[in-house]
Amino acid sequence: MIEAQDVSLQYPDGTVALKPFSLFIGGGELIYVTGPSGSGKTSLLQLLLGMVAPSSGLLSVLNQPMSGARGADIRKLRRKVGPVFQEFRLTAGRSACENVMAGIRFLRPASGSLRQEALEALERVGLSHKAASPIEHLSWGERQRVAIARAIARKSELILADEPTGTLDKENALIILSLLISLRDEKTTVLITTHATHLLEPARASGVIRMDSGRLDMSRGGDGR
Amino acid sequence: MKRRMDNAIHHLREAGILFRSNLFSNLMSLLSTTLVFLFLAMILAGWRTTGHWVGLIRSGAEIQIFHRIADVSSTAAIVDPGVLSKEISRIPGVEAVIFVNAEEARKRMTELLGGESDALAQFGENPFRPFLEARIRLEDMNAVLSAISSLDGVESIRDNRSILEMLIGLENALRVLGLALGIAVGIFTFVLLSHIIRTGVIHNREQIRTLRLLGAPEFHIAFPFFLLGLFVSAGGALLAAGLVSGGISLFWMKMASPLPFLPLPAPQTLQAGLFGILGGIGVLLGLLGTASGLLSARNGGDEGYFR
Repeated sequence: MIEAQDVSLQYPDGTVALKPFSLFIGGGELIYVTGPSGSGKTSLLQLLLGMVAPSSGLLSVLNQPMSGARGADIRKLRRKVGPVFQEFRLTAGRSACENVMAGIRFLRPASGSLRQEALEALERVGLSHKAASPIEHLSWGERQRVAIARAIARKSELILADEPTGTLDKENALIILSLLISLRDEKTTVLITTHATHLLEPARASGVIRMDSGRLDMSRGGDGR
Repeated sequence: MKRRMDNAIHHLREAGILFRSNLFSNLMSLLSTTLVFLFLAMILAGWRTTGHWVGLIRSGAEIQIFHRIADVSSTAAIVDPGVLSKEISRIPGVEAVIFVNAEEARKRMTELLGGESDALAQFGENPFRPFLEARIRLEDMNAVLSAISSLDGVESIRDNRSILEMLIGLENALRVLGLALGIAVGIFTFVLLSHIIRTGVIHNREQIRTLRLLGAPEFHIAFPFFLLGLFVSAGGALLAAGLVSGGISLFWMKMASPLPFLPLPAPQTLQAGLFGILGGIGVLLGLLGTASGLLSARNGGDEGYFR
């Protein structure tokens, strides 16, 4: 699923975002990535999503080598990934359902209709009753649930959640974490970055990556299921 | 199939949202393209009309030869039109010669003047002279005129060379003007669309970025922008073609009665040509302008190191 050997990331201005690291994450795992702000959590996710190329080492995500990957390869990879962003990345002026549909309408043809798939995903996050509501009318917590519904509808093999609880109160943050954890199954790996470690239940995770100043330290736990 | 239909409707809706998101500016852009295409449409209509006239004159180049007739004050011999006609028909470049007597000449003018022919009744006698009418090949006109002038008994020749030359000049001028205006319209529309699309991309960069992060194909992202570009460009062109077509219908109706001798091209042909040409130019410019706007926004974007 994710394999890294001596991977590092350095930006053109010389900033070292990630020091050389190696890791392996298999299918169906739940991994927490923790660390203070600026420790490199977002850089790691950017690397996994193909937003930046590794400066050195070998990185493979969902069997796609990331070094020297072409634009088309990156797009193909991203279609298999369900990203969940701290700032939601939902489109204003569109309904919750339309936002979910926007994330799946260019994917492979599905058996059901787009709307049906989107409604089913919204149902899973408990927002089917707000499917027609414009995004601006939803609370922050609800918006993040719509973003998760988008990832669910995409039937992604890898969920990458970057500080998904960053803008939420504790109650909503717990709902969101619980939802994300529930997405983990035999085929879906879930990777969540957060600095709110007090909200996490490490026992449920198969591994925790602790980050500090660009350095990764991965510890394996139980299966956590 | 259902998904394609759903996506087609989605792209149209997105294009509509893009248009409405900057409504005033986009309406002004549509108005601007309509106006510049309107000028082009008028020039094209003028060019095709004068071209029609030139074609008509070229296809039937006729000259009128006035010969000496009985005159009590003159001692010159009377010319036999039959003999003169045979001599003229032997000249290379002359295709046919017919004799038009004074009564026939008057009849022709009566038909030409239509409702205004009552003026001819003011003349007591028939004011028209008999003449010979020769149909000639246009390319031999100079040689034919020179040969006929040298024949005994020929007093004067009336040809439509000056009118033809004037019309050819006008046609050429309109062609040059049309081309120049076409280029100007092209540059204007291209730059305008490029700017509109670039602005649209910048206004929607977050949405575009999200779609890229979700792995959307570039085609999927760009399609609504192409629809917007086509709407502003081809929409303006077709609107202009419609306005000028309406003007042609009105003008032709007004011209038919007072100027019956002015043969205008069939309005339907002219209108269909305008819609075809302007629509084609509009679509082409829409695609090129949009592509340019998308490329410039992409190259000049703020994504920098990130892909």
